[in-house]
Amino acid sequence: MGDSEKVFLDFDLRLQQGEFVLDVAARFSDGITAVFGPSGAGKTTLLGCLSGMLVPDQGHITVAGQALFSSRDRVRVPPQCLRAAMVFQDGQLFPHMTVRENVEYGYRLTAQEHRVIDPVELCEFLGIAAMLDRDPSTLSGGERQRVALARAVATSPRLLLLDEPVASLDVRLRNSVVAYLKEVHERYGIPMIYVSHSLSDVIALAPNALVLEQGRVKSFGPVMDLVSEVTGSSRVGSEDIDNLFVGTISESGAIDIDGVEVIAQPGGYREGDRVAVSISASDIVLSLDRPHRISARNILRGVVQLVEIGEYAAFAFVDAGQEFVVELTADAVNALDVRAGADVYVIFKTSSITITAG
Amino acid sequence: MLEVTLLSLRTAFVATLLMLVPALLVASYLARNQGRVAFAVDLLVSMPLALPPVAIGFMLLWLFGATGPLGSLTDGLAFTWLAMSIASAIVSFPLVVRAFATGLAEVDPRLVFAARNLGASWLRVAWTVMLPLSRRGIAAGLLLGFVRSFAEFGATIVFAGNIPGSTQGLPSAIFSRISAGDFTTAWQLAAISIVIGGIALAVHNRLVAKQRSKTPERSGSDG
Repeated sequence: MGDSEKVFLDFDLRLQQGEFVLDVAARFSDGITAVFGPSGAGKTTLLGCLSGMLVPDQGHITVAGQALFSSRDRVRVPPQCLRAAMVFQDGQLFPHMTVRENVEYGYRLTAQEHRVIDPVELCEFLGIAAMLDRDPSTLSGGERQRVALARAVATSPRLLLLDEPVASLDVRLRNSVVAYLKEVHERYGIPMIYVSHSLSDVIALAPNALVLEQGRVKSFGPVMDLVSEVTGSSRVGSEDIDNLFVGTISESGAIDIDGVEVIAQPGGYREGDRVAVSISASDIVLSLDRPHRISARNILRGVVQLVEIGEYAAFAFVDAGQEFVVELTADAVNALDVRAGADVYVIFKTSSITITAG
Repeated sequence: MLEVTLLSLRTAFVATLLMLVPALLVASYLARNQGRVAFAVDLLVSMPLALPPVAIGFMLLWLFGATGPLGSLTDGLAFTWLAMSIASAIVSFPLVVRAFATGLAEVDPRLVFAARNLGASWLRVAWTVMLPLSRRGIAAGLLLGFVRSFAEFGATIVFAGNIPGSTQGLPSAIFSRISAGDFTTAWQLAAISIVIGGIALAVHNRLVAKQRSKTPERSGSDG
């Protein structure tokens, strides 16, 4: 985290669970921070501590200057007062309540002065307004996770804790839910901690990542460094990196992503429908000149923000109204002399766009 | 015959009501705790299963008798209809706790935590999540408690006596009829017991069967 960003969450924790010891300290900004690492690295245990479900043996947790836990000062705010709403891997919706009752459960328990998010508008925004009277067991995986997200966000939390919220979904739905998460952060500005073992989600969502390994902090810094770490290993190719957005179908049938118009084939969707859009980083072409007489329908002008070159692959981060990640070969980077600040065109085919309702 | 049947039904009903809250508290404690204290609590509330009901009645009589430790607080409790319910409740208590604990243990602890995380206090979680999700187990436990209380004899006859028109329920009436050699009436009363007990037990078994079929498989989560 850079010095210019304000510290929102500050923690230093130690917790022993049998053989496993979690011993981590970090300072997060009020943006989205990813917690990344393999299974058993302590990601879920860390979230457990931050949510008050687990009590650390020693250490402290401070949110926006307020101590939520401190072993030295004997402070322990009970979990129901933390206002750190959690979204679980498989939703954990209350099976005996309707979708509406689920969403309103926490909202009703939120003090009047903290209620800043209107649940009705939130449900519209997340595209679940039509399913409010349904039973949670009738929802698809993607719908279930959006309801779980709505239930958490409806409490107007101070912090949103996301415990692998897309891990049990297939790639298509995963991208859609991640795109919604990004939108929720942009719209409501709630700081988020996103736990994941998938690099693709982390790149799409979070500027910074805390990497855990065997209960300890392995590294903490910009996600782009993580990309270079990964691109330097043979692991590249095992995982696709996708660009994820939420947009609205426009009158012409194109998709409007907050002002960036993308031409796709939105068969089955109507004007005004909200959809999640995913474009694989490897399906995007960069060009220094505006191409003429090319079959690809999407040509967006942008500026290169950063280029990460590894041994096996390179990634360019381009601001073209929205941030795009473009996968290149190291050869291509050298041949075109792509560097930060360069004016480029981001080019992709209509057929490279996957559209999901969720 | 109608009088003793109604008295037994009322006794069992009141006994069930008496058990409800304490059994819920003990069961929710046992469902979430392990260790020495939980072991001791479990042992204590389970003791009535292992003791002769007559011995329980005897202890109650000593405890609540005029010269007993609680005698001055509960003046004249022994040999009343309430004494019948108390004796039945204590004998049935372990069965109810066990049924409740089974029902509560089936509530996914992650749902309980989700509710806490959304701002609910323990009491609210119990009321809005744990109870509704274990309602079959709770209902099954209450029915089991009712059935057992309805059939209670040993502790009741010692603590509440066998006073016709006052503390003579179905079981003690059967006992009196057998003692008097009136086998016809004894058989008739036994038949009533079979019908009422059988119906309640059948409903209980249905609930337990449904509860089992509804229990979802737990999915594992990564550490």
